[in-house]
Parts: sequence; structure tokens; C-alpha cells
Amino acid sequence: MSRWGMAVDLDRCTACGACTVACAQENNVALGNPDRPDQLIRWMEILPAERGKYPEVSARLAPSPCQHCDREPPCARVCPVYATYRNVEGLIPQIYEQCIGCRYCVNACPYTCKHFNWSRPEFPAPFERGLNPDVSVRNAGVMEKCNFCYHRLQVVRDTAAQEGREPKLGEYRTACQESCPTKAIRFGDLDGELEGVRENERAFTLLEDLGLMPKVIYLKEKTS
Amino acid sequence: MRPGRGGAFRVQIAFFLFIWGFTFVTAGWFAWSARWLHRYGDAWKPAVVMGIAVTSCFALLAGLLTWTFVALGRGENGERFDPVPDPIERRLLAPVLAGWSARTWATALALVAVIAWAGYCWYLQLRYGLAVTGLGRPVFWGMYIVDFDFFLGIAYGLVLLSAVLRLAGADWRRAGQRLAAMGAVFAMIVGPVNILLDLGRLDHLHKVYASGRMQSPLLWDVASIMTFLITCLVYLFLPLIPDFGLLRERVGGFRKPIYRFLSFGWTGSAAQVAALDRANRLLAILVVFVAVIVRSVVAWITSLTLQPLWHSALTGPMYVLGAIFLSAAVLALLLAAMRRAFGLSAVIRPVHFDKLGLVLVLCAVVWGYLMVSELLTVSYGNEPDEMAIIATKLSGRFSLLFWMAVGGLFAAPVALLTRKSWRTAGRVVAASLAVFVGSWAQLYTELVPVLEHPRMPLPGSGHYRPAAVEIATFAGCLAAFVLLTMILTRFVPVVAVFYERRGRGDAAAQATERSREYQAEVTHP
Repeated sequence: MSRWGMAVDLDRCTACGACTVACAQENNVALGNPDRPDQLIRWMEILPAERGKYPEVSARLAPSPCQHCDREPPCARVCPVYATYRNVEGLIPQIYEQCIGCRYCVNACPYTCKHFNWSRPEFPAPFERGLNPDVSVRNAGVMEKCNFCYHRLQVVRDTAAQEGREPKLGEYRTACQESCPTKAIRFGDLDGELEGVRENERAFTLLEDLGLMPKVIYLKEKTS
Repeated sequence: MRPGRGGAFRVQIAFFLFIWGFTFVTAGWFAWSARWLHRYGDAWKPAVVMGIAVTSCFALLAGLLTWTFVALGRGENGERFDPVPDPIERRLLAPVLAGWSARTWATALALVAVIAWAGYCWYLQLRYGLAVTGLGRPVFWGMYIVDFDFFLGIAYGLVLLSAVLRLAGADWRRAGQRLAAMGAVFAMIVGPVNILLDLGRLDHLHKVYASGRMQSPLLWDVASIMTFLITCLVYLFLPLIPDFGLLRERVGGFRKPIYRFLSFGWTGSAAQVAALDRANRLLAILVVFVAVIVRSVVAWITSLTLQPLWHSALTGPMYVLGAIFLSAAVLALLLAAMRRAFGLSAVIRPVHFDKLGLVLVLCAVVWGYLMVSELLTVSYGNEPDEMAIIATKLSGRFSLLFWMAVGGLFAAPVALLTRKSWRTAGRVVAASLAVFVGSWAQLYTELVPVLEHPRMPLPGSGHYRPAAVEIATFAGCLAAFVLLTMILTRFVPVVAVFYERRGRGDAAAQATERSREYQAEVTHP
């Protein structure tokens, strides 16, 4: 059984934001109301982590999708209706039609990496033609989040089944991975494409001490 | 012929079948949930634990009601109701028998206007989504959840306080018993409305029952609200039966058959009185357990997550104490309002305010202790995530609300009510208002500052400020609470006539008896 994960090499990342845009385009993420930046939805974000104090200040910028906790995801634990759960491959899907919009999951999430549809998403004239037919547009009042472009896995599996073969290594690719100009984002099976990335001496995960074992693994900058 | 037979009798039988049916349906729901959770390999034990707890509570209630009503039906004819009402009864029944004055109608209309405004705001929110609130990222829960906690605190606290006083044999509780149960029922109706306001998909609410996941604390909350609403309806209804029996004799017109039906054949015979007393006593024991557990469940919703400051074992006890504290204040305000509105100074005496003031002071001291425990534990540990939140409470963005909570919940009761001679009605009402505001401020500062400080540095995250919609709906909830209370005072006496009258007859004898029990005669050796 695959265990899908992501490796983000912060040494290569330039924080250009291409992943954020590609993700929003791929997953029909609502454009949002510029007057309410706090209600904006972006599944993939660049987190600014400040280091040091003025004047010796620097920022570490890290692309951050849903961390897909491997062990007891807090969101799945508290969801009252099975709208989010950990599936057998370790992905944490969100079922929009099952969600009741109580927002308990995001309040339980230590990474706060889920988003709520505060209003009905609007796609003005040119944008509606760019909607991805493989991904549903969410209703007002439900949670949504990064699901590692799960629809692409389904396409890969369907194609492989039609051609009578197994899915190939590296065939399942996420939108952020494809758009990354410096190839900082790598995606794949933690026991396949990404084997050994956890053992990399630069590897770390966010809020490691909570013991949630996120499947988004960061590789920190090379020092020299 | 005994009253209550015929058409009404059949309705009563249907009512019993309904209670028992509801109990079995609830048991079935939990069993069915446990079965499919088990089949999907998910946590099924919470369903079993909750099923046993909730079902046994319902079964106890249903058994208690059945037993009591069979005893009431069997009771032989008792007292003939005195054709000439005594002054106490005349005073207490006056609001029920007289109509509303023009001023009362004007107040009621004003309250309806506030509720209509809140309803319009709810319509706006349903139409444009929760975007019209001040909520956003990372503050996903705001005033709606605070208001929910607040009203549920009133409901749980009122029942807990009055039941504990009953079990402790405090005679002075009698004047407030009915008001406490009434307030609990109305807070229990108004409070959960805030959850409906908060939900993104109200139309998906049925999924909580159809595919509820029993390990989620929200399901515990659903079960506990359901249980408590029914429990406190019974808690209000049982002591009303003798008064319904009296009203049946005193009113005419369309209300007479309603009172006859609700009085369940009450004649006031010794057997009936004994049956009802036994039921009330058992119910008081039951509601103490239920109220403590359900109040803790509300606290666990936040304290079972991993978030800094929420994840604290102190939250449960703090919420239980807060509920008693808030409800003592609400009870004092209700007593003062009723005394003023209906001229009940013969029944609601200075001693009631004195005792409630004492409860307030005691709660304030315990609250201060719990608050200092929390602050000391957190600041000595000095974890950066927690300290950032504490700092906004002590001297930052939330300092006004936090110090309002400290002022209202500690300083005001202690400063105003410590000495017995200070505990006059006016001061108790003033302190109660402070506690009322302080409780709300405390619930707000427990919830929002934590959400405003997520662990990750999120881009574009803003500060939460309640929007007009949220303020309007809170005003609407308060107005609905007051309006429901006003309407019920038109139909039942605010102080139980039967118990008040009996208390006047028995109180002195009982007090002498009690004092004799613990003061044996001392003989010279």
C-alpha cells in the first residue's frame, strides 16, 4: 500500500508562489473577496517564519499545504460526521457533501491548514472557463483543504487500468510539484519515490514534538 | 368521578408511550451507531458508553414519570380546594389571572422587534453565507460559540444550583425553584440556536444523526443537550402539577381544560403529595449528575484539542463553577425582576438576596483560586505559545475583556457582598449584573485569544471583531429569553403556590425538628 507524501527542499525553494497559483487553478479554489483577506482560501501557502530580532532579522519561507498527519490526525479525530478521515493510503480527504460546516476540525488542527467557504465561490466571466472539470466547486459553508490532488491519482489509476498495467513510479504528480520552477517540491510514495527522504540529515517536519508525523517533509537550507 | 379521565387520559397514555418509545429509539440509535462504527473498524466504545449513559438517564426519567403518574392517578380524593383563596395564593396567582398592562405589552412588542431584527440578520447570513460575520482565518469560532456556552451555562447552572440547594435542605430555595427551572428551560431553548447560527451547512444537520461519529466531542454535546433539555423540562414540570391543579379550579375559559389535562388528576391527597415529593427528590439527585457531566462536555469541546491553553484539565471544573456562578447571578436578577414586576416582596424576601449574595461571594473566591492556578501554572511553565496568548489577555488586545471578567467575577462580588450587612437586594443585583457581564467576557477570553494565536505564522490572518450580525443575534437571544419568561409568567405562578404554602406551614416545625436532631440534651455527668 502506498503512503503518499511530499518533500519540500527549502534550499531550492525561492518562495516564488507558483505552487500557490497552480494549486488554486488546479483545484477550483475561489478567488475570494479582497476586502476580507482573512476569509481568503489558499490550499498551498507560503508561510513566513521570522528568525532573529531586528536588525539581524531573516525570514524562512516555507510552502505549506495540509500536512497529512500520519498518526491520529486531530481534524479526523474530532469530525462529527466522517467528512474528514485518514484513508488506507494515509491521505486525509475532505468530503464536501458530508461536511456540516462546524469548523471543529480546523480549530483542532495545530497547523490551521484547513479553509472554510465563508460565502458562495464566484468565478467571473473569464475564470469560469478555466475551471477544472475533475474537481468539484465547493458550496458555501463547508471546509476544504489540500488533498494532494487526489483526482489526479484517480486519473492515473484509470489510465493504468485501461492500459492493463500498474501505475508507474512518479506518474502521480501534484499541481504544485509540476509548477515548481526549481523542483523544490517532490511528491510520491514515502516507500517509493521518496524513499529515504525521512532519513535525510536535513529532513524535519513542522511541530515535530506533537507526534503527529506529518507526511509533508521539509529539507532545511544547506548551511555552507 | 376522578378528574383527568376520558380524552385527556388517552393523551396522557400516548405521552407515556412517547417517552418510552423515545428512550428505546435513543438506545437503538446508539446501538446501531456502535454496530456500524465497529464494522468500519472505528472507535465504537464511545457509542456504547454514551448509549448506556443517555439511555439509562432517559429510562430513569421515563420510569420516574410513569411511577409518579400512576401514583397520582391512584391517589384518593384529597383536599377540597378552598373556594376563597388565601392572600399568598391571591398574590401569586394575580399575574396569571390578570391580563397584561399596556406597559407590559409595549415591552413585549419591543422584545419582538429585537427578535425580528435578529431573525432578519439570520436571513442575511443564510443568504450571503458566514462571510457577513466577523469570523475569518484563524478565528473560526467567535461570538456564536461564546453565546452558546453562555446560555448553556445559565441552563446547567440554574438546575445544578437549585437541585443542590434542594438536596441540602435549604428552605430559602423555595422562592427561586420555579424561576430556576423556568430559566433553565428557556436558556436551553435559546442556547442551542447559536449552534444552528454557527453551522455552515444547516441543511446537513441530519448527518449528525445519520452518520454521527461517536468519538467526536461534538456528538457528546449533541447527546448531552438532548438529554438535558428533556431532563430540565421534567424538572420544571413535576413541581408545577399541584399549581396546575389549583389553577384548574381558579380559571375559566379556554385555559381550564389545559390546566385540567396538565394537572394529571391532582387533588392534593396525602398519597399524591408523597408520590410527588419522592419523584422530586429522585429527580434532584439525577439532575445534579446530568448537569455536571453535560457542563463538562461543553468544556471538553475545546479542552480535548491540542491547542495551547485550551488543552487544560482545569477547563471542565472552571466551566462547572462558572455555570453555578452565572446562574446564581441570573437567579438573583430574575427574583429581583419578579419581585418588582408582581409586588412579591412578601414571598421574595431580603434573606433570598442575602443567601444568593453569599453564593456569589463563595463562587468568586473559588473562581479567583482557579484563575490564579491557571495563570501560575502557565506562566511558570513559560511555553512561548501559551505565553503569547496570556500576554494578550493580561495587557494586550484582550486586556479590557479579561480585566472585565476579573472585575465582574472576582472584584465586584467580593467588594460588594462580603459582609452580611452589605448583602442588600440592590447590591446583590449590582453584583449580579457584574457577574453576568463578567461571565460572558470570560468565556470570550477563553475562546478567541487562543484562536487568534495559531502555532503557525499564517499569512493574511486578521483580528476578530464581532460583526453586526453576531451582536444582533445575541441581542435577539437575550430578548427571546426575556420574552419567553414573560409569557410563561402569564400561565404559571413564578413561585410555586403549593410549596410556598406548605413551606409556611411546615418550615418552623421542620427547623425545630432538625435542630433537635443535632442538639441532644446535655446532662450533667
